[in-house]
Amino acid sequence: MDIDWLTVFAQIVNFLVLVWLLQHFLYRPVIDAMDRREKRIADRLEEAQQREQTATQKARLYENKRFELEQSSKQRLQEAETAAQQHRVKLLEQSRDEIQQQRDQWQQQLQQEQQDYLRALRKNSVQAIQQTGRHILADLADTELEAQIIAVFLKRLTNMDDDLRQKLQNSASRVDISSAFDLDDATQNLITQIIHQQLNESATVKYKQSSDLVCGILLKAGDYQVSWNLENHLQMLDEQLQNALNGGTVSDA
Amino acid sequence: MNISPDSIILWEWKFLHINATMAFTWGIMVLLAGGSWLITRRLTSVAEIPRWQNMLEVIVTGIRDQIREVSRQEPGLYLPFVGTLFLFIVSANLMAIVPGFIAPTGSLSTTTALAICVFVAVPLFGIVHEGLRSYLKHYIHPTPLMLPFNIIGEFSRTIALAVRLYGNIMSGSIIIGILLSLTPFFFPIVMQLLGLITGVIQAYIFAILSMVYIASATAAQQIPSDKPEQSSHNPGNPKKTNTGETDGQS
Repeated sequence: MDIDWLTVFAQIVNFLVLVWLLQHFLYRPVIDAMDRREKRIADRLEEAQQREQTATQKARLYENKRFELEQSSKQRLQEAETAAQQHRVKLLEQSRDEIQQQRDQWQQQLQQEQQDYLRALRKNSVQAIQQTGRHILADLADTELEAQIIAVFLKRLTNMDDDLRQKLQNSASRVDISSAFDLDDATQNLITQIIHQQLNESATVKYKQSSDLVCGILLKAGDYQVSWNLENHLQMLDEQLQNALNGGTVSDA
Repeated sequence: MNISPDSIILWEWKFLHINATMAFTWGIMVLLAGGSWLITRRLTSVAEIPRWQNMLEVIVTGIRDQIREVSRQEPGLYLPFVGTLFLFIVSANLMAIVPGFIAPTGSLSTTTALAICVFVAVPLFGIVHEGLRSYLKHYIHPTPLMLPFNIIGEFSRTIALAVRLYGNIMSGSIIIGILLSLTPFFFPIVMQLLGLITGVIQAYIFAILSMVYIASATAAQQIPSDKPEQSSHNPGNPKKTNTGETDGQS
């Protein structure tokens, strides 16, 4: 158990050299590498944390946006639905109005057509009745009827009211007598005589035959006239027929 | 029977000579430094690292953690010294399993050399940390009467370090030698295994005790919260530290 001091010295030197060698080749490189890796890991963690934060923020942002979008789309949908509903109601009303207008128009048209038709029917009926009456009376007209007509006319001339007589007297300087048939001289004299008696002694009486009068005789003095004419009766018939048909039309409508 | 590698002289010139202790020490140095260089020349700092680099990192991290645990200080300054002590001793002891290799730690010269290194390193670290005056105050702590005992303690623990390691390794070698002559089969293998365990434990004890001595010399630099506990450390009373038990087992 002896100590070789040379060996001791050599081993001290060896040990110190080994310390230097290991410090140079082992401890420093390994610790540096570990520090670098730790720093890198820490950096990465920090980066990951930052990314996560950013991601979280973005996610929150997008969530909010999505929510807003959803809300706005809901609102828009509601608005669109409301607008569509309103539009539908409006269109319905519009079409209803149009239909109503068309119906009114159509009814008016129909009414008009009905009235026109009735008017035409009326006119034709009246004309037909009138023509029939005319034909009948023309066929029946003979001397006896004419004498009867003249008698009636003379009676009417004699029995006219005072007011008319006064007006006729005032304008009786010239009296025109129109008749549907030809008057013989005796009749003309009789008429002239009665006119002279009833109206004016100096009145000038002119006679003429007129085909306008269907069957009758007409005295005209100035603006006034006295007559018996089948035309009057036919006109009255016409009026009555018209009234009757109008009443029927009203009740039909 | 003399199995100290000091006695095997390989080369001699006047009073200078090269013996097996030196040669094997150089071998270990080449192995450690060369291996480290081979691995650390291609270090990466990416997440996926080569397994050799991983092994080195485990070793270095383990040593750093042990130093931090014992000294309650940052291991940066002590790592080269204490780490090299441990790595040198443990590799020398483990290499003993190679046939023909005689562990240089089985030589009292080697263990003395290492103990002297520790003997010098302790006050050096203490002075670097606290300053000369503050360090020297440790020797008259708690009273100046303790000065001779503290100085004796400095020397005795150095001798204890040297002799403990030498004794364990040398005895292991001698036991194996004796057993080989008595029962050539099986038992020597068991003892060889036991020798490996003893070698690793002795390396650990040597390194840890060194660290404890250094830590006690640099007690002023300790973390404040640990001060009451650590203040009991002094150069003459290392057994009060948390490695006192380990020391007792040795």
